[in-house]
Amino acid sequence: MDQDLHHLTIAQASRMISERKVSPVELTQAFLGRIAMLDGQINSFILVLEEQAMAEARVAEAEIAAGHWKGPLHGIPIGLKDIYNTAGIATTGHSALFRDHVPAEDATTVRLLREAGAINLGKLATWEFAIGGTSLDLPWPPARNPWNTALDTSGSSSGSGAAVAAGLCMGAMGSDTGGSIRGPAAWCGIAGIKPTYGLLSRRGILPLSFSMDHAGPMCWTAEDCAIMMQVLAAHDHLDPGSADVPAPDFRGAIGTGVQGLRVGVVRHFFEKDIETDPEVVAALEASLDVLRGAGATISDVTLAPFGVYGAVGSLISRSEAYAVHEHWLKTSPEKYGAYGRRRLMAGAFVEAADYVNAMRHRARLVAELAEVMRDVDVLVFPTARGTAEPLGEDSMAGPPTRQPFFNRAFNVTGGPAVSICDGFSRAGLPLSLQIAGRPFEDHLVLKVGDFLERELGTRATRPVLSDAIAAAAE
Amino acid sequence: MPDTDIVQRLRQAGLRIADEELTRMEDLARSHDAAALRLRASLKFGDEPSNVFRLPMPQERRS
Repeated sequence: MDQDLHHLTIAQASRMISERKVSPVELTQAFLGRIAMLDGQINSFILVLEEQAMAEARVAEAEIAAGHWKGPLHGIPIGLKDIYNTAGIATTGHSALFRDHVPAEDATTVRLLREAGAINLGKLATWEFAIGGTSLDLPWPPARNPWNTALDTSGSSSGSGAAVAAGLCMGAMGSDTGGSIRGPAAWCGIAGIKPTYGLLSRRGILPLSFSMDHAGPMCWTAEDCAIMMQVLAAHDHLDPGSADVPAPDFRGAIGTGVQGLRVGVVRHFFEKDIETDPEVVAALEASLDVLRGAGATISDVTLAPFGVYGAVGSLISRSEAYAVHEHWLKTSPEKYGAYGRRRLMAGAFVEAADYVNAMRHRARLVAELAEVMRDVDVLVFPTARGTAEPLGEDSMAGPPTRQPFFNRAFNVTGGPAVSICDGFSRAGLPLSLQIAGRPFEDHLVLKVGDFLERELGTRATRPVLSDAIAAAAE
Repeated sequence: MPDTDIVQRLRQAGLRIADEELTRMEDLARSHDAAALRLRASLKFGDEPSNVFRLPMPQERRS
């Protein structure tokens, strides 16, 4: 039994917990054992909270035994990107600068997960302060890709992507300022959603770019993301960007079909703006065929060239990140890794006029997108231009036509975007597809993601290497 | 430290990095300059009003 627990989805495990076919203690023990056995290969955790997790699991077990099942996250083992504040537990940002930073309070999202009964297994690796890149000069090693440990996970939610893909936790929290949930979701072959700006609180999450930071879940399936979103989507008056809106019924939308759905394909993104691997395009076309066959209508749409989103996004995010880090960059630059230091310092060179004009241009991009989305319900395009690249290469470097991801457009404009695995390359690496929607229609993009995952059958294939390592260790 | 443009820009900002990082820093600065130039070239704002104080993302559900 233990051998199979790590391959359950949250939906499956929560059903078994509620029916008392598996206990939170069994589940937590299974994951802690797997972390001990495997994580040395992929470095997804920088802190494992073994005792705390077991204590939480025992409490959950007692509550459920007493008939107080709280809902589908009760007793479910998860992990947190190490930029989420945890009361009394170091929150480092994967940086020497914050090595001794111990917050007094949980982040709002951490509190919500705790109240829902989720078990926190530990703190997960990240690019330094969610920007630094895959760095070898930090106090902890970078996460590695479980599909091939010589490859990168992408970032910045690197540990979250690796841990979920390797079956070291059932769900994880990531953050997405320029694609940091969707990039690692794509390269690690899992699902990850950047929710609508303001839908999830960012209170207690180390900030990077105030107007583009988003919190969000990363899971093996889109359905599991929906389960986590149901707990996480709540107005927080302590986050000035938080939207006071009722949460949609994320899970209720799952399985309701795509008949009549209007799908817009942003074809120029991957045919003109960014050079894209033919295998990525072939998988996307196959996904479109599936949607068409199920009664969706497919049409091409035109947005601003992707490079415009990139220019607007980089000028804004680097300026805002520099505002956050300026003091430490001036007083303790040696405590940053080289990637993080350079990327953050570069924000000092953005002129005020360019920042303001980027914000003005951003408003135009929001309006343009809203106009396009009068005629379609969701947009579809790839998440990544190719499969995972070798560990340590600067995946964000290179000319605009070879940027690795199609993510920034929705950080700039704020709508929801989910990345799912829509197939595998000839080399056996995950391919990815992105579904984006209108603001606050996060349930719709998750529904389409779930539909495609089921129809394409991609969720039956797990990373082989992690199993091979497990077998070798027995 | 050589007296290059990037060194002057760093000094002006009150920042310092090691000599061996200067080239990569220059690359980053150049990419930001290119992004700014791209926007300047495509924007003709004229008298068009803009509200940069309110984030352009919707804070309320769209009707």
